[in-house]
Amino acid sequence: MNKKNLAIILISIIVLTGCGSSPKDTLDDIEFHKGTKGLVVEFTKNTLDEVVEEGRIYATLELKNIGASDIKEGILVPSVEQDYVEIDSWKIPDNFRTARDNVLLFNLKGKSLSLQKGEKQIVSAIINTKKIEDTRNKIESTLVFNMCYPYSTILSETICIDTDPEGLSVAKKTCESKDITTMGGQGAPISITKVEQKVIPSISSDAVRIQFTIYAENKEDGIIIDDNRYQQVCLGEGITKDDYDVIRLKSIRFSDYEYDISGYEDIECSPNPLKETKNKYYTICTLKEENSIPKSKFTFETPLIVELLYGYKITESKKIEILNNDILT
Amino acid sequence: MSLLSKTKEAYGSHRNNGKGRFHSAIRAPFTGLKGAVKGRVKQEYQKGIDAGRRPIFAGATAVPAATKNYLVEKKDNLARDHAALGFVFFALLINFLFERYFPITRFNGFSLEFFKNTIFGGNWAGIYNIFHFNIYFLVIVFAIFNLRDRKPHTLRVWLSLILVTYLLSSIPILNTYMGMRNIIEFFMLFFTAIYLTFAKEVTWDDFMATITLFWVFYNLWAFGVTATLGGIIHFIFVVLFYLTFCMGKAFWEDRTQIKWWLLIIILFDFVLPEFFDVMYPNLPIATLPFLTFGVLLFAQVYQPSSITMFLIILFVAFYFFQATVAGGSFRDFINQRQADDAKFEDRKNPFSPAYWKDMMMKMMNQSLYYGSGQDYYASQVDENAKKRLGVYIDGLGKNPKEYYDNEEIVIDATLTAQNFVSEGEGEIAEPINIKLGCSAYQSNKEKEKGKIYPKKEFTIESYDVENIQCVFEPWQLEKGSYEIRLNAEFNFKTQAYLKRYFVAKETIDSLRRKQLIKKDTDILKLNDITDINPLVKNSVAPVQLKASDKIPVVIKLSSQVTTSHLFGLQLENSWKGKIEKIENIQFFLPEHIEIEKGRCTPFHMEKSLAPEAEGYSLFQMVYMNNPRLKNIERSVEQRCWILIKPENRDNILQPGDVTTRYFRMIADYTYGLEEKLKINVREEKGFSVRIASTDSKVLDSSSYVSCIVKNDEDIGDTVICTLFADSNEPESISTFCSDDTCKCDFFRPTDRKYPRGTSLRCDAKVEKKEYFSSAYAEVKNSPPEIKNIRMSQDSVRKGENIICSVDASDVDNDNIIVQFDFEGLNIASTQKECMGSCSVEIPTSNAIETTTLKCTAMAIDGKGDKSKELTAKAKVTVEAQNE
Repeated sequence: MNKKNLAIILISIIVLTGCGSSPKDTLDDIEFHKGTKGLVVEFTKNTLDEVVEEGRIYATLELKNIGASDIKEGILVPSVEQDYVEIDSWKIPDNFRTARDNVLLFNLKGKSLSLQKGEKQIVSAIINTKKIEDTRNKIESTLVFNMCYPYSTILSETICIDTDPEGLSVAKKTCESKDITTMGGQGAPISITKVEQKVIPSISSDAVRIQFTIYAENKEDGIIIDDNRYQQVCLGEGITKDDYDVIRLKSIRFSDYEYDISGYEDIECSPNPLKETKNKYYTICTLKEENSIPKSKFTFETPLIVELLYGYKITESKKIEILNNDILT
Repeated sequence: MSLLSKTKEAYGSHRNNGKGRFHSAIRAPFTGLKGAVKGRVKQEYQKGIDAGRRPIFAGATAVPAATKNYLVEKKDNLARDHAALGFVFFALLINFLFERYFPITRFNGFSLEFFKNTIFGGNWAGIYNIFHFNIYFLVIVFAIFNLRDRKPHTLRVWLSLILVTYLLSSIPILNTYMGMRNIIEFFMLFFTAIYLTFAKEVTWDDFMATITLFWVFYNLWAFGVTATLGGIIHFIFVVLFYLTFCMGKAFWEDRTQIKWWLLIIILFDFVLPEFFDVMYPNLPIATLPFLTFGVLLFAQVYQPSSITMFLIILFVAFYFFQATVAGGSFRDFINQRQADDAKFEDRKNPFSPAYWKDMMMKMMNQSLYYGSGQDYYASQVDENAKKRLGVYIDGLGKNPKEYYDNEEIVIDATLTAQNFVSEGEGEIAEPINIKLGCSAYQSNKEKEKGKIYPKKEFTIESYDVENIQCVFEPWQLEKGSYEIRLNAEFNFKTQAYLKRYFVAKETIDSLRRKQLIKKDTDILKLNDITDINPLVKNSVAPVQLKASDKIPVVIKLSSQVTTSHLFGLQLENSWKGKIEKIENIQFFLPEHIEIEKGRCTPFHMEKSLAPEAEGYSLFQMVYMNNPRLKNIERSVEQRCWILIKPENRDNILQPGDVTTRYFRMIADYTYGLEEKLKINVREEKGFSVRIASTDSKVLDSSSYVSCIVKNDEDIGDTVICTLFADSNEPESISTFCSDDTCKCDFFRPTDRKYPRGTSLRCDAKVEKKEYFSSAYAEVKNSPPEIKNIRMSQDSVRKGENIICSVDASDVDNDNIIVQFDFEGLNIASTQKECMGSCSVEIPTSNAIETTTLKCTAMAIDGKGDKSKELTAKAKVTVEAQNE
């Protein structure tokens, strides 16, 4: 390679590495509202795979809330093959408590500035094994743990409210209205993937109404359940089809306008709970007529905050082998 | 000429020059190499001279350079000829060894769910972003700008790098779609610039193939292929493949084509598994070795050989076969994305002949059953069951196959018996009672019975191994071929269990309406349960229990109406023998599950009041005299209807979606095991004599004695037979024998026969021809005899007793026990001591309907010999009751 070529390459390297934007702020709340996981549960490595009949095994689970929301009154329901195995008791931390039938109720905090990785707790189920038939050297049994918890997804983005969609105003617009498309989630298993924005005419010709179509998707392998009945669903009590796929829009607000499920309504939102179509869920929120935005208000940017509420169910299982005492002697 | 040939030639040359073998063998490789590179040395020398070096330096460097070039060329040739095959074996190692034995290394491609949802959802921006098309188009723009003249100019390359990196990224419309997003994408551009600057040959085709490949590698990394060890291994494989074939000098000319092939292999291994899984959910996709298959196709196209052709045929044939058998019956077996251990077991099956046989049988059995409209029953021997439970007769094959008719024929065998271990403290498992017998068969007809030594009956508590013999007396078997059948009749039991899942009907209905599940068993996958089609698991035993496919895996319990299901069970003979009689069938059903009364066929079952296993209700057979219970060659079925009442539902269901419970079944039976051995019996040559019974086969205390003389040719002279009986005076008989065989019959004037245990010797001679022979025998025990059997009445009414009487005798005056068996009423067998005559009184009060009562009697003497059975009948009438 000649010197000329080498010089060009070196200059290019200097230019490339010298220029460039400064890194964006790190450690802001964007970090916490990223990802698609909420509660993550796995068996710890020290949970044994084999146990002798009429023996005891500790099934240790690590529960981590790595989403953005806190979990309050989550429920953990164990399901074991009662012919060979029974749960004797639990070893649990202080913020967990047991209920009937060896069910656990728990609280776990999500990610925050003080808990950047979310709260993690370890619980151990003390399991006794029963006698197995003498004709068998060992039996495989599956321990199943179902976890159900209420959760929320919060989307916070900046939107541009275009009060002059026809472009009649002389004044230059400070921003351009566009849809919000997100990748990577908001720190919850239900992701708000898109918010479409439309300007619809008001009855009065000098005002506009804004309409948002909010789309959400289940990004993880769990099941969406009604957050008002998540405990019953986990326990298998009186289940109906209306207990599944229930995502409620808790609130949406932008600028001075707000919708809240508890009754505050500048904005009309329907359907609520969100309707399902082709593995997506959606609802349409429209600014009420009486709250139309006058056209005299120039195009402006404002934060849009959307919060969804739902219940979520995940399952974790483990196979163990119950050995006949004879094969050990 | 190859190095090997040169070496052989060199060896021959050294030997011809008088060198020793060892000396020649040591020197031959060096001489061979020297010969191989000789021509090259001259070339290298000339090159050095042409380059201006002095002759001495050119000479010094010529040999090493020539040798190095030769070896490099050899290496390249080797690589060119065998690298593809090497990668095939590497892929086999990954798919069949690592993934079989180390579950952590398993990799089954990417899940396409996310991509599917994005594409079908019309989220084109999402698709663009997911596949990082931004960097792909950026590099193409970069290439178009620099490869217009097919010769990249260094200044232009680096200037355009700056342009692409910064300016393009700033243009408002373009930056969304073509901006660089991270440091990796920057480095991809940077290395593209390096490649364009320094690569010797850059063609547009090769450049496109290269950047496409790198874009794919980038996407694989971004999709998280390195999240699992299996993914890392597969990723390393494709990287090594790239380094070998796409950068190796040996493949330089074909590199472009190979790069496109690598893309196909990546498609095979990373994308196709899920694709086929969705398209063909009934096929065992998880077990297909996509990586091996992709590399095999490449190897066959690029470096075809008989090995690759053979492997392709083997793979296609095996998986075609498996897919054909899978059909609909594997519907519920297959786990979609994460195959469990059992499924990966299938990878080693192509090498097992037993697997092919089993697959063929299953295919035939299934089509036979479905074609005839019958239920298909299935089960498996529990792989965790204790082995060698039961009774076995081994070692028969070690016996000689040739015997003489005048010698005792002794067949040795080993009897092994292992019983169930008792369930707990104080409980004793029922011992195994074994009755042995042996016979000689010709053309499937029993010719002679042999005697069993040391004893005919054994009682095994837990485990025993005994040496046994089947003995035929001299001359008991005449000349000919026989099949010796050693049989063992023993009581045994099979324990089996069947796992089933219970779910609230409302839960299933709700999940179906929400399309969270398509079929009932999908709820198991939702609950992370991988055993989605549990079969009946049996203990090791001659009878296997199989469950009907009509018993659903997931049993839905309603809170409104009673749930009922057909519970079908098949008892199948799975050893080489026969089920002599089924003594009992017991079902242990989880508490609150009942059997509908009167709905079991063909054997009636009722709830037992006997102590139950905790958490279970016991149902067992009543009325054990059904003829279907006896002499079962193949199988018998039992069908019942099980009920779960709505008020009991909550007692069965546990918290959670799915409750797992087990049905336990026990079958008690008497099994007749048989082992066979073929032998030949030959005649002794020359003049011989034997002692036999005049009128029967066995020489016992009820026989008259004869001496039978035999010769190879006609005797044509007087034969003198002398009989010695213990220390009594011998008796002699002379008879003229014109044929080759004749008899000397010894009838005492008083017709007294010789008592049991008498030692007999018979000498036969033909004086003129100097023929002489002796034979020895012992008078055996005579079996008892039942002279007649009768019922006190021909017909009785229910409630009246009837008497069955026999007259029995024994020539040896042994004590006789008569065994009475009954059919037609539920009456247990009984035994009675019988000197002359004896009888039993039979109650008829348990008769349900008018029936024929049979009384069968058999006498047994103190030596274990039995008489023939005789039977008498009477009618028991049951009158209809007035309402």
